[in-house]
Amino acid sequence: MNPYVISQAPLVLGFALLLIVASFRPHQKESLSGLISIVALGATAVCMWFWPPDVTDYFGGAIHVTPVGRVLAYICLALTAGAMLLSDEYLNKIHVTAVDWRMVVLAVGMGMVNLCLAGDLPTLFIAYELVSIPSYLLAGFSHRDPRSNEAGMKYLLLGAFSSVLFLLGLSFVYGATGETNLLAIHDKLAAAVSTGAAADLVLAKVGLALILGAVFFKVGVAPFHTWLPDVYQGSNLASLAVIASPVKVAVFGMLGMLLWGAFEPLADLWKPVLLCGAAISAVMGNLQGIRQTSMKRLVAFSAVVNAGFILLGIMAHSATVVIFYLGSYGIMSLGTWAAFMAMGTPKADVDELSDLTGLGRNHKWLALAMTIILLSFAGIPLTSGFAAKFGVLLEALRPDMDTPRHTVQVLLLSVVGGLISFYFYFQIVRAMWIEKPESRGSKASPLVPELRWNYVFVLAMSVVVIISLGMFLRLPGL
Amino acid sequence: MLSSLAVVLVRNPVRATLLLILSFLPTSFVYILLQASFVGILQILVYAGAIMMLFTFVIMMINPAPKGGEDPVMGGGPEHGSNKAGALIGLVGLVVAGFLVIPMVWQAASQVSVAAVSKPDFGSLASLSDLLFKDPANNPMTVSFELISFLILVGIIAALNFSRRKAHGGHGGHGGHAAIAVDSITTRPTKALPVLTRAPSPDRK
Repeated sequence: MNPYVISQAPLVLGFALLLIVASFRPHQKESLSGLISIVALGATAVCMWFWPPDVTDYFGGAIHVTPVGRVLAYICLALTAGAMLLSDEYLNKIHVTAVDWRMVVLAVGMGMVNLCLAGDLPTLFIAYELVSIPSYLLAGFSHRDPRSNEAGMKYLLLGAFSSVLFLLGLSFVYGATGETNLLAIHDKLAAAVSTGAAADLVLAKVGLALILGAVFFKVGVAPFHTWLPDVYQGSNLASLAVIASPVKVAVFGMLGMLLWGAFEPLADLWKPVLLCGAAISAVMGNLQGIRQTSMKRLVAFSAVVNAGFILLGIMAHSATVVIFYLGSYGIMSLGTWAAFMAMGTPKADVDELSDLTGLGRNHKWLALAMTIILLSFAGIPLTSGFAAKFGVLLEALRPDMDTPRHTVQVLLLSVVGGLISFYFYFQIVRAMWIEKPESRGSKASPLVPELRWNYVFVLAMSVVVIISLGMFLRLPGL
Repeated sequence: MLSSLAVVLVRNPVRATLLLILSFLPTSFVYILLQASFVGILQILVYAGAIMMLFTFVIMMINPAPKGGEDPVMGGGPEHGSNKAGALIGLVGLVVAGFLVIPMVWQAASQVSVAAVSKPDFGSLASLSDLLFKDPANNPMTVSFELISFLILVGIIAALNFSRRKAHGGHGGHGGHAAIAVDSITTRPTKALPVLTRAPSPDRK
């Protein structure tokens, strides 16, 4: 029995147990299924910890273990467990069958682990689909809400289209190289670049362009980001804690590993593309984000801005910085969803900016935690958001790297964009601390947050991680 | 090719589905000509047989009620001319994409066919199963195969969940098989049952 199979077994077993729970006690108290899923995710992480370090390939190269992939898989599992913990009471509130939801999330977890470890094209694509298809389901999970249905449908149609482009890109790459193994593709491409076999490379370049387009869509890089605010607004918070946090980490990680690994010989092609994506994201995300009054849409545009920074990190070819950014971004957005869940009323989620008025007076600690997360999103020093952004900028300006032209301009643009984004993060802070409830007229009723232990726990964890990463961790090069 | 064009142009979903079956046939012939006879047969069996059967069935079952003069099943709908600019842009894009893609595919095909001929049993059932299942511990396909089965399982779960939410109606969290039965009786659009026997609406061109 090889260690890879053993590490996947807890997820499958957990899934099977949930199936049994679903068939015998479909509408009982949900804590049991939550416990099963968290144990399954944790057991997978523990099994992966004990993988023998000298074995890198399983199943003839279908699974290729790299240190980067392993770290990303741990991050994804931890964030998924956090989302699972958050979901406990919330799913009850929005009348979603928790067992079903958790089974779908476990499938996402399995997809993410395999996405981080995929070593050949079929595994890569199927893991990508195992992440994507359950994500569409999660977006449309709360069936009462017509907006959730719309979000699920929109995500499904657009996402299926992007998956097809991804598959087309992969098959072009296969056509160009005749290999499915990513390492072999790297060797073939490197050989073709060195000998200048132009005919093969055209096909591979078109394939790479299609892959980049599909993945940019998936992670919401401008100008492929238009679906993002709608899906964020429509989805329920528990699903968002999965779609917007660990799934982002996994797909960005996959993009990074694909570009640094198999497509490393074509760096001249993808570096400018990433730079363009980063520049457009910085402009579009910030300018569109300014005018939002819906909290979820605001977070969606902030995701676009952050995606731009992550692209810069990937372009700078620095795994440490990208992992740090992804981890910090994942925990920040998980904390945001925890805070939103805690702020919601028993009937509805918090949505409009004006709902938050006076939160700082009535619920100091909740408002404080939210403020710290927002400061980290904005990139104020002493938070992990600052360390991550600073690390990306330093790595992109590393003197020994052959950056494409206009890198400096794009970096400046990102920094200016970061300054603009201060405005929309501080709008929330202002609403919470400064504005008086009376100034908004009759609509402003002070929130009645439900401070359940799991919300508080995840929120506190994320704040602790944000501050400790921001203060204590030293990046290489810092 | 022509029939797949017609699938998009015909305004009657049932006819479109039948035409889609027609357009699958040449596709499977292409597979067979490419010496992948098993895939070709699968194309007919699975797609033209099972999946399109399901499509037709679903279209006839759902049959959305006609709204304000347009009948989604039997045709009609918005004016044809309203989207000419979009159609033109699409056509130009198609031609450009064709010019880009066809030479590349041609080139790729010229390389692939050599490899195919060199293997005598290419595309046969035995070689396919060898590829998928031989030596499972070292076969790269094992992982994909298992993951796909997991993916299908998720699809089933989701389908169950979607059907259960219908049964719950407004209450959520309660209800069971009895609720499903009641629900399916009361909410089915009884007005729209005779799909095929209905005469075409007069505003169809």
